[in-house]
Amino acid sequence: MSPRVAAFAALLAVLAAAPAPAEGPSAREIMERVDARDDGDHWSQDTEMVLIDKRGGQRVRKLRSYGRDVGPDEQSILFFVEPADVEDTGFLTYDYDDPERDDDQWLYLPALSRTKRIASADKSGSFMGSDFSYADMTDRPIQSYEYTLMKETEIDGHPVWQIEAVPVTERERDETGTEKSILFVRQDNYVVVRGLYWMKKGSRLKYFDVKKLEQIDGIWVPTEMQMTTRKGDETLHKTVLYSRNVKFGDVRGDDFFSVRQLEKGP
Amino acid sequence: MGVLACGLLASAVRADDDDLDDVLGGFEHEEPGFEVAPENAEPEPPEHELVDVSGSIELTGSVNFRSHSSDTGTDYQGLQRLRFRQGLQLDADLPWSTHLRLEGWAFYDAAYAIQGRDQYTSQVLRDYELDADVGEAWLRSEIGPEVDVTVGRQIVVWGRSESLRVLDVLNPLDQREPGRADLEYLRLPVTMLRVEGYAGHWSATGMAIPEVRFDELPVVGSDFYPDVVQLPEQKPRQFGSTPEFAAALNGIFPGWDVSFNGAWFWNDEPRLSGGPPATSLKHDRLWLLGSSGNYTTGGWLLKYETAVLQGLRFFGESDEKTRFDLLLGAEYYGLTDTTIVVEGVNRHLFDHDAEIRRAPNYTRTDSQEIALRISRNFFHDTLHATLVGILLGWDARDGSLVRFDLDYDVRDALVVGVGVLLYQTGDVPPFDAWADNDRALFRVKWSF
Repeated sequence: MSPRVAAFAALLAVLAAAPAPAEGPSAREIMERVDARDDGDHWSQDTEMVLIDKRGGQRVRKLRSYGRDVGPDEQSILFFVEPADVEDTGFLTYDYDDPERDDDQWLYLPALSRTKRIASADKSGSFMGSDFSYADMTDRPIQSYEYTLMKETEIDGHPVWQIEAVPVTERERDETGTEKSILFVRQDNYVVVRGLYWMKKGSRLKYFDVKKLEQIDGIWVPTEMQMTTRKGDETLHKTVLYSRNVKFGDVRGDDFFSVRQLEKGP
Repeated sequence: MGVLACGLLASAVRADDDDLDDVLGGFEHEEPGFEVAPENAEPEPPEHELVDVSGSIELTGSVNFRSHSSDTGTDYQGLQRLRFRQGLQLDADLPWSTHLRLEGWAFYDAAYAIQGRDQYTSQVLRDYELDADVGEAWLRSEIGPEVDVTVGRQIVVWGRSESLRVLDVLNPLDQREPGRADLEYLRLPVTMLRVEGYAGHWSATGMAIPEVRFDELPVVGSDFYPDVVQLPEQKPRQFGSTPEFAAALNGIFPGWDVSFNGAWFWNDEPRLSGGPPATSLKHDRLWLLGSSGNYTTGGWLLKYETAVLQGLRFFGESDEKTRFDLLLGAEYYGLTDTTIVVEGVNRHLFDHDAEIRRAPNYTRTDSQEIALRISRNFFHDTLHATLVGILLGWDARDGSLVRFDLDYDVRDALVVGVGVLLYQTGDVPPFDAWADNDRALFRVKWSF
């Protein structure tokens, strides 16, 4: 047996020994169901983010936010409530489903009485100083990823699919700053309850973990989640995000998701 | 050989699995010190308050590190500012979709007492040592689903530029220490009636501005004032003079926006009028027609501002002049946590002649300003660095200014900062007199 044939035989042996996924949906089908999961067409919520640094220092950000689906696209508007130095700062986003189309974003700066349009290509930046990036706060287009079902396992007693997601376009890789990720999708409700992200910069890993999942008006909502940034064994920073006052069916029209409203506040 | 290859490959796959298991084990690993503090662990949702009082207390300072004096002889080396500033703002939601804002501020600068008040001119002490004023004070109401009316002292920003002015003519600026004023205090509100109507992607705004207010400029005795005599200024009455009028049409679309603007207003920059001994500073009425726009593509935001200004007058000239301003700029957002802004403007004066180039007009046919602003956040938005450079003239022949600021969030709403502000001399006033005004800056600000 030549070395090349031996290696091929060994590979077959290893693959044969690996547990094959049970009959069921493919990774892409699962992620399509995740994407199609009812997360409300119109919603509002209060958010509190606790940012924890290596020295144990904690900073708190409070937000009031509103969102709606417009066909396959999503519009959201959020207002800072705390801390005081950024109170009333507003952020309006039109997040387009088409990965080739740039999102529209506006930032209202009350200290300058000014609304600024901003470009949105780099979503890998920190969202308000947290471990969540702008990319984490918006839907990631499923057509921009290649998914592989790794195995089925359990988290907190719930069966989950463990899926590897790799960006297929350089644009997606650059925009999100992510090389690849492993997602854990609960089989009973298609909620991503955990995610592990390999970041392009700094050999860092980000751990996303849903700590509390509630059903509100029939819709599953993570009401407590955390994102932890690690390098090797060291934790660098952590953000805990709480959602409160989550309401669905809070219908608001075009005039609300507008620069006019951004300048007026919630 | 085949058995060895088989074994190595199997080991490699097992090692990958082990590595992945190690990495996934991070979900179960809670490092001590990263627990949420009890007071933050069960957050209360923020309540929408009908009346909200906010404000800030701030200490700002500057130290001039080069030996220089004002033209009146005041030594300006060393501590030049130690200012305590208090700002208060009240916001109230009233019935019928009406919102009230009242803002006021006051400051006291201890540097003058420390350095000896008798060194300074009375004008400097009056304008720089102690001051207080009403800031924004307005009432806004929705008088229909698509119409807003705002009346009172307010700030309206027309410009797209971060650092240069073309269309931004409605609010005067605090220029008492050029380059020193923080952006948030730079624009001075004026009393106006503003009506805005909305229809789809478009909005139209009309403004009547009865309060006449001009830029706050350096006074005699300041190291930014290049003379020993303060010329009298012919100012229209603050209220009761011919009001300013302005209108704008704005369109906001996916990926781009545009505005068309028009105004009939008082020129903030005074000109010399008359001859000795009756020389004075006078403000003229100007017409402005302009346009501005933004376009985004990828990580870029491209912008323009343009304006035709009619009614400019110069010392020794009988004719009114017309100027055409064109600003082009780009902002780049493609680098993580970083924004880079480059802007340039050319101001072309029609019917220019030699008299306009000479003293005391010092105005070129074409004058340029170029601005570069780089800002970056570090360490999860706790450290903010900003570098601003402004050149007057393509080659900085008329002067330049560089400012670098480093602000650190000690904790929520508490910021400490340091910076440096450098001036380079130019061929024409005022920069020819500012070359030694370089200073180091510091500040502490607590917001509540």
